[in-house]
Amino acid sequence: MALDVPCVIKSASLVGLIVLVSTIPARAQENSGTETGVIRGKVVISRADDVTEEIMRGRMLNRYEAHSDITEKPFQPYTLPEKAVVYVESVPGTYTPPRNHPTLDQRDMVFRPLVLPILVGTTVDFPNSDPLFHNVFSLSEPKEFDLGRYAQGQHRSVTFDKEGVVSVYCEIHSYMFATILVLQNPFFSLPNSDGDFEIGGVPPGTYQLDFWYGRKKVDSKSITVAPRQTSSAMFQY
Amino acid sequence: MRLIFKVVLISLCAVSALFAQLEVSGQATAEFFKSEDGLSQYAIDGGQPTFGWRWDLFADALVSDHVAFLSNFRMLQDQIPHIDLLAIRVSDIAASGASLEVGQIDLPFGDLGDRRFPRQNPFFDLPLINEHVTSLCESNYNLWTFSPEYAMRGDGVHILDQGLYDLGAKVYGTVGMFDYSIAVINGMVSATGTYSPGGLNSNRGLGTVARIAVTPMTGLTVGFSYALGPFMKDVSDSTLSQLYQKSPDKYSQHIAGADLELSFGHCSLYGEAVYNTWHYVQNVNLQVFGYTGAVEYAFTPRLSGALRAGGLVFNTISIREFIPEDDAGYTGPIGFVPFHGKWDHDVFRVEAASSYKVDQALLVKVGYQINRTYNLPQDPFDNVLFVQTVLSF
Repeated sequence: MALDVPCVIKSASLVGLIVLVSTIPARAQENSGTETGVIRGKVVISRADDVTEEIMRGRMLNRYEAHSDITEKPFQPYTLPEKAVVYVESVPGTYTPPRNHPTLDQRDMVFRPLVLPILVGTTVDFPNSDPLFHNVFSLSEPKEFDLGRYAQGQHRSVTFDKEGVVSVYCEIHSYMFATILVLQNPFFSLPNSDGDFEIGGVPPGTYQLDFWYGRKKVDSKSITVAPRQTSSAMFQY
Repeated sequence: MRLIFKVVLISLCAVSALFAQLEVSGQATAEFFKSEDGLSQYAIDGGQPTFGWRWDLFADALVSDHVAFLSNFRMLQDQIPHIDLLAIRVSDIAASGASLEVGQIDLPFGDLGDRRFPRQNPFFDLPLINEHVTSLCESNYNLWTFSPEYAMRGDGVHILDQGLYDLGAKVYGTVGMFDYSIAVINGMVSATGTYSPGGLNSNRGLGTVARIAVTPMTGLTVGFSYALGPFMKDVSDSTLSQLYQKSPDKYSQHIAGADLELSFGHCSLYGEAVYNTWHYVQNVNLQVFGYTGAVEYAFTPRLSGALRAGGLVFNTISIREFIPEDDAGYTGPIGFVPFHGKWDHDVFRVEAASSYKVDQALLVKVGYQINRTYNLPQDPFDNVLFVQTVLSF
């Protein structure tokens, strides 16, 4: 693992890769020439996956969806990188959003990933991969939007220019939901499927490190980052 | 009855706590109505301003990947509990793609879908073809063509029985771009068996309902429905039984419908038309053509607007109508009186509504409904203003 890369996201998921690629330029630009530290740790989940269960039930119990061939298709449970995020709150500085657009896909009647962390100012693409309509919308304070209905293969984009938690829903399928975490800084990581995470390029200081899992922030702890040092953190839920 | 409802609710909560697979959700509404005070079935509470409420509770359980239990409970301000849906669903039987629902099911006629519920329905009631009660009285199956006040007030058989639920069995599925559904039920789409005495079948026959829909492109669905069966309950002391020595459930209903749903961007359109024939005494066919069309548009993430129009056109019949002499207040001829004309009053309704999402769970709707009734000396005053708050949970 190249620790000198400002942001290292240790995840095998495509989403993680997208975020990794898209956030490197921002941090490289902002923190070049400074001595930074690394936060490394692990998340341990010992609870049943209630969120996946809830969505799966909602999907199967959907009453008025004509396309039963889609709702009855086996549902791939969310992987850990799709539903967990570790992020640093409030790191001084301004950061340039990435040019690449992370995606929040609508596929097999669910949003994927369940949680998408982005740097404020980032534009997110919302492709529709299902052969039927969805209608993505949010009434969250940081960003209200309603993308309307569009066909498979098309996408709409939204730029999130205010920090905060954006809850995303589908107007047609009420059980569909996802969260976009619009963060002040790019120091976040998606744990890999083993729960390991690593956030590189963090300026020295004492910060609050948060752990988001499923639908909510489940834990938070203080962490101190020293130059060229690795700080450890562990979250259990 | 209320006690039973409470027991059911408490049981559901207990079961919900015990078994995680039970999903309980619902919608609650509080509304205010002010209609004009004309002599019409559309005037609400005699034209007095009034508040009302409604509560829909959905309790579903996914027992296994292919077996589910679905139920809807509904109650209004009259505090009479209605169990609309109570069905066992077996999905994708033997990997055939076909599913089966048995119990009290929603009927596959038209495409009302979740527009049955206040959150998804931009207006306060269902389309006119689901709401109108005709001049064919449900209590004794007499026609009230000579007494327009009866017809206008409505003690009659529906064309489509509101939310369309009945006891029965339904098979449905998807094949390519086609969706099919066929059901056998206790009652008929115009007079479901839901409220029959004892809750069981009150007809000697069963009703059959079928629908096929095609989705040639995403966002466009065209459906065709057909239903056939006895539409009057076997009430032994009905006028029909006494005068014609023929049980009411020997008369059948044939109804065909077409529906269309089109959506794109922030706009969606829905239309439905039905042509209904009730075979009636003296070889008379009571026929009606009904239609409705609605358009919805989301102006912003929170603000939407909707327009809906619908009408009913009744046929002209020649019949010797039986007028009993003991009808209080009626001063016209009695006995068998020849009648020639439309058997009910043509009506037309146009309504506009706007809704605002206060947040994800809370919706406020306001709307106005204009009703026109024809073939009367004067169109009744029965326009309605409504404000409704809908909470989803």
